[in-house]
Amino acid sequence: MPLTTATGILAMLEEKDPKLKGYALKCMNRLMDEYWPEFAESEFIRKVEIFHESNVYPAEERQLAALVAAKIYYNLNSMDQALHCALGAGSVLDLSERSEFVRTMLSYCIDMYVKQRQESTEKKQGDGPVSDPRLEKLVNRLIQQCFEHHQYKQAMGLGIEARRLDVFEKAITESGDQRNMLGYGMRVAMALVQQRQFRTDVFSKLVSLYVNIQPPDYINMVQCLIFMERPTEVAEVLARLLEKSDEQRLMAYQLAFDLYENGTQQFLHTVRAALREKTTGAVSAAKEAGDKLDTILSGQLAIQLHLQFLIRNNKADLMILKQVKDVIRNSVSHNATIIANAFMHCGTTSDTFLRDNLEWLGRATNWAKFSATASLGVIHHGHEKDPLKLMSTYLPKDGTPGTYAEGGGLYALGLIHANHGSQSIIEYLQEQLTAANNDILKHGGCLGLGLAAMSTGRDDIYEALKGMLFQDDAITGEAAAVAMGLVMLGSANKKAIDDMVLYAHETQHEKILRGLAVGLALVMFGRLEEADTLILQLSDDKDPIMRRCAMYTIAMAYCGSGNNEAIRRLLHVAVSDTDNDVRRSAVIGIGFLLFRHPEQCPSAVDLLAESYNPHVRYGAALALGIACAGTGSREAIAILEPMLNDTVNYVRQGVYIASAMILMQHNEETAPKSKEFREKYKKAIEDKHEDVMAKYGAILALGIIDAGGRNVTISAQTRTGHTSLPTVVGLFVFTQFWYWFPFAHFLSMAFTPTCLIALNKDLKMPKINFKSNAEPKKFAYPPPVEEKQSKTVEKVQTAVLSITAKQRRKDELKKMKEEKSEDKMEVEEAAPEAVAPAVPVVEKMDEDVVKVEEPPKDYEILVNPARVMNAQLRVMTLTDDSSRYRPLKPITTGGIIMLADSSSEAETIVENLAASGPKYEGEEVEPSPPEPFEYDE
Amino acid sequence: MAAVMEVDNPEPLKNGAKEVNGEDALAKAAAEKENLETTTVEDIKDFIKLLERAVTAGDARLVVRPVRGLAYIRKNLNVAVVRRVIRGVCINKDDKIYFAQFVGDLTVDDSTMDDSKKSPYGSVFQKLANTIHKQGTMIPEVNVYLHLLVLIHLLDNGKNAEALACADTLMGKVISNTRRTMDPLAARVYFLYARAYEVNGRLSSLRRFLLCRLRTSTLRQDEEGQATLINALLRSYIQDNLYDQAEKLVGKLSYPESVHNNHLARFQYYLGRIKATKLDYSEAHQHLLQASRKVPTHGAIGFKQTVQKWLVTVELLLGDIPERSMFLEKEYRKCLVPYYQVTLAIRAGKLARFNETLQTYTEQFKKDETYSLIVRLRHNVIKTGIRTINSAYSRISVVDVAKKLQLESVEDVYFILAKAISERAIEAQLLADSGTLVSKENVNVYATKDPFVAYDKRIKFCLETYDQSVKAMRFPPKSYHGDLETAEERREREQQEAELAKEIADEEDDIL
Repeated sequence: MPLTTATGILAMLEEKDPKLKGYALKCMNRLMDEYWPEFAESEFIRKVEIFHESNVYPAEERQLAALVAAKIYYNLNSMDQALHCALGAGSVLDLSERSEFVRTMLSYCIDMYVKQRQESTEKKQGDGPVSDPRLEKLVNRLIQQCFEHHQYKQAMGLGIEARRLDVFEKAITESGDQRNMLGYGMRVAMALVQQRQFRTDVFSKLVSLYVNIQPPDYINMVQCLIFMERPTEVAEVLARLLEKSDEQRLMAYQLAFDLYENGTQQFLHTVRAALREKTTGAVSAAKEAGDKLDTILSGQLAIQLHLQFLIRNNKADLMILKQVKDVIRNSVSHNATIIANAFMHCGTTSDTFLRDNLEWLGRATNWAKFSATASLGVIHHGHEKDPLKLMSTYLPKDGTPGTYAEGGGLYALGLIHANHGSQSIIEYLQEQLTAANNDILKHGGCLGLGLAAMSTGRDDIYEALKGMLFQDDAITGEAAAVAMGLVMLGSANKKAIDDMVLYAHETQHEKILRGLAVGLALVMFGRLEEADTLILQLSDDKDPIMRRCAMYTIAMAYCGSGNNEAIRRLLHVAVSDTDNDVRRSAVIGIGFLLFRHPEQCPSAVDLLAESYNPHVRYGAALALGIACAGTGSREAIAILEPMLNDTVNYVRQGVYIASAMILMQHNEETAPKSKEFREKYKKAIEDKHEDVMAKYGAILALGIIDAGGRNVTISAQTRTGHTSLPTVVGLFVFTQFWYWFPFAHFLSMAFTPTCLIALNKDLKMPKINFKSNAEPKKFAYPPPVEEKQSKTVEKVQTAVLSITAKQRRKDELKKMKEEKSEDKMEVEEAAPEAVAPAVPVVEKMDEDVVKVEEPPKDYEILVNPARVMNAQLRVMTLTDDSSRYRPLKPITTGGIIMLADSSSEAETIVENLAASGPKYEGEEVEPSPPEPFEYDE
Repeated sequence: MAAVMEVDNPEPLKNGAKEVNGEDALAKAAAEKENLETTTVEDIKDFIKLLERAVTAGDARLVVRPVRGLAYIRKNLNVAVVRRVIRGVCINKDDKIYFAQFVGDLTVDDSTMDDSKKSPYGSVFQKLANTIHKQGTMIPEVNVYLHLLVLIHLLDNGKNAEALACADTLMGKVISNTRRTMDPLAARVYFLYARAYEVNGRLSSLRRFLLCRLRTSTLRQDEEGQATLINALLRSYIQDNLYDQAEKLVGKLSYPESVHNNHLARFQYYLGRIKATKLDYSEAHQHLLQASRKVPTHGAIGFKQTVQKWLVTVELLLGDIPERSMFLEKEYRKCLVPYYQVTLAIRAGKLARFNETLQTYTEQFKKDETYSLIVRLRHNVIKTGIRTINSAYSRISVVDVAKKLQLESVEDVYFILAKAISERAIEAQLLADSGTLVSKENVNVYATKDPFVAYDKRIKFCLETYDQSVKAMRFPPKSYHGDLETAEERREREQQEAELAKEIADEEDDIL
């Protein structure tokens, strides 16, 4: 007769003799699987637990009791208690046992440990619950096992998750391949560690490890130091390198370029100051190198090189603009066209289109004129030599009342110097601002000053802007508030926040509130959890603009972090807030959070893109555009494509803009849909019935997709994975064009040239070739637009369609009498045809120039400086004939790269293109600024 | 007479026709059978395709359909169908040899087949067979599915010993796989595995294993598996009369809510039985009622009848009298006869009649496993009798009560009445000196909270039903994309609307 019940065993627990009790426990342990429902009565559990806790019994039996209790709780599915008991079981619990119980316990154990460690490190030391020593012992046993089995990556992961730097370090040092593991550790730390403090700890650990390996990996080390914001240490490294050999100096230059690309203005200032101190007493060679380093760090050189690159490779298609110009009819589209032109020629300094169409340009009036003038700043973005002379016609003169053009001129100056204002230009703008005598000039001046002094954190500028804000003028205040945010960008300056929040509650002007909302978010840029208090405070505000500010702040503070908590909060607001604007900005915020993981964004906003609420749909489109910018992501395009037919005009607008951002620089090879989308934009612009808002979007889209002469992209992270500050800020303020269209120009900051520039030790470009190991057509420029033959036919058709059926019927009834009027109508509708014939002539000329038939090759030779798209970088190599050069970092990273020259022949280095072509130095070759044009106001 | 003739006449005619076309009919029947087999094979093939898709997509939801489809395939499953499927799908020789031991030699069968008929399937099968094999071995899910078909076939044909062997290897395959796509299949396997052991009378030996699997599926959140396993365990406990253990197990588990109704119905039925045996009648009644509600509307007649028997018994134990119409329903008329008799006896409160019925149908009750409960009903008969008397007479002597209840000892009646009063079965007073039972005034029910409670209960039930049905609804993904109008269509519509508006306006003008 087999056993059917465990009552007998349970009865033994009641016995007084400890031996019997011990035996009962053994039986229970053995029969657990089958009889746990009987064991799991509360009285028995209690007895077992009492047994475990009392001191009377031998230790092993007490541990057994703990194990039995653990198993009972495990069967009852209450894992916390099970784990608690299992920890008491000590050695009786056999970790190597392959049972489900042990495995489950271990996984819970790790989870628990990680949770406890994270909680205790997040709070101040000693504040949180100290993790159970038994738990720690168990986890240590596991980690030891990992090392024994050479599972270093797992151990490192556990170390990072559980905030255990010792494990993290050990995982790197013990693995055979330190360099590789360090790289892995850095990637993981950058992508996955979201807590600022701990991330700094990890990076400092990484830095110490990088120093110790031979030869030291300076490039990655400096990356870590940038993340940690340790300018003095960076300066030390640079100074040390300068004192050594030439090659080391090259490395210093390379580091300086990386620093400029990834660091904030303030950071660079500190580095330069510290460096100057160190190099003052140095010998001449080091001093000279120190000066060079200073120019690099100031960014002048990088900006010049980029400008060079953009001017040289400019492939903007004027035909597109011409076609747009010919079909648009109203002022909104007119303005959009000017902005699109600015985007297309951003940084190329080519203003041919404006100069060719001065009369047409003159149609811009009032704020449109402001915006048109500002667009010059976008075109000359980075053209920093003699900006005042360049813009002289549009800058305010003493005494005269400010005009829209002059306000725009000041704004343009800011755009030229965005994130890189020299002392003189900042002073000039400050002067102009104090001298300004009306709100238009003040508006332009504030924006210009904010841009030029971006992220400097300068108190005097901040105070000046605050003075502007406190004048309580709507137009001035809005710009001043944004500019305050720009100046204090990412500083989390408490005073600034208090000032702005306080004023937000005082002011009556919605415009100022809007400006403050943007400004506050900018102040909190990249501060992660430090912004939480502000976010919480703002998101409970009853004013929707303040709540919107909370959403902006989340987007900026957590930008690129992919923080789950922040995304959750945004998603919650996106579907629950009562105000449409708040919801829209919450959805857009998701784009900012996810730009490091563009592949995740489509699934995150997929459902929102189908929301009943058009504002949410618009937000979803822009979020996709921001997160997936430049990627050509198939998934994102698949979501956007059906939205092209959205019933709401502004949703279509958003879709046009977002899709253009995603498809930037893509041709039919890399993104098959790109051609289709280009055609859609064109169709929307030409379509008479299309709403003007959607048209606005389509025109901007044309500008964005071909921005910077087709040589720039938008990428919110730099090549090394840092958050690109100007790009994020540019994108963010750009989204504000919803309320104030001149903000659209901010997008120019977001454009990054996709270039590969090699420099020799004199910081000049040697003439060398790169080899792109891919079919040339794969990364080619999109073909220039072709003339449409059927254009005229279409026009007639639409004309017929516009006659209502009723009218037609009436016409038929009275055809004899009404002959005259019908004639008139036909004449009227045929009018648009007249525009068409002018186009083909220009087009033919264009075709002749472009027609170059090349035999298909599987590689392409590119000359320095080369346009290399991000996806193309992987296949780049140096050509064989440039074998004398050795890049200091792999050229597959792109950007500006220093070359070490192995040969000492002086002749080859002379291959510098400094004088030829439309060079920056050659002032006379430079296209001169457009003629002043007259406005009829 | 004429009417009878008319009815009778067609019969011989029909027979005649049958005789004449006997061979044709046979051929027709054969063809029909052939047809049915082919469609069944086609269905199975579709399901296997679905399984393959589920595995490649890693979506366990797609597996659910083939598993549910088993119920309907089972009806048309015969050895020929199984052979055809296995022959078509198996590439691996080992698989074929293995299956051959259960369904007969597959190779011999091949040669007897009409080639012209089979060849088209052959090629289609070939394609399918290639897709479901990864590096020469079959996808485990498909393998398990074929195995399931074989096991079902064996069980349905009473080949118990073979079924047991088959079930054992099948279970081995399921355990060794940890993919989520296996879960729905595993649930089905658990059921048939337990069934195979049960028909071989070895269900009790399985409990330990089932409990282990239950743990595993709980950890993996495999709800279907949990539900199946819990049911199998309860069945095994009840079979061995281990109601105590069964109740303890149920008390420690949370039954997954979102499983198929069939699982729920079984679970509720077992729960009802456990509670009834443990004297908790009102709970038992609720569970059984739930069980009877959850059963499918069509089919499962045996289960319905069993539940109904238990339900009637428990209702009687609760002191209620079941609706008469229920006994007259077509499905229940025959099987509920004994219970009907018992009900009549209780309703009348006649002890003699009750005893008589009990004696007549003892065997039947024992077979239904309700005997132990029916015996408990004696007490209810008396109580009902007292209640009727109490409501009929405002004052009656105890002697008369004894007479009416056909009880011999008046003293006993005193005790019984006293107990009934203390249990609040009746609202009355027992006056010892005069030897009479005086009933109290009936209270107005509507003045109490009872209607409120009852109403609340019903509302809750309705709301829950509504919630459940909402949860059960699931929109197919992306189905709402189809009928979005394009930009041209929208413009056309808007234009038409504008024209219409204008026309209307014009017409109004005309009138004016």
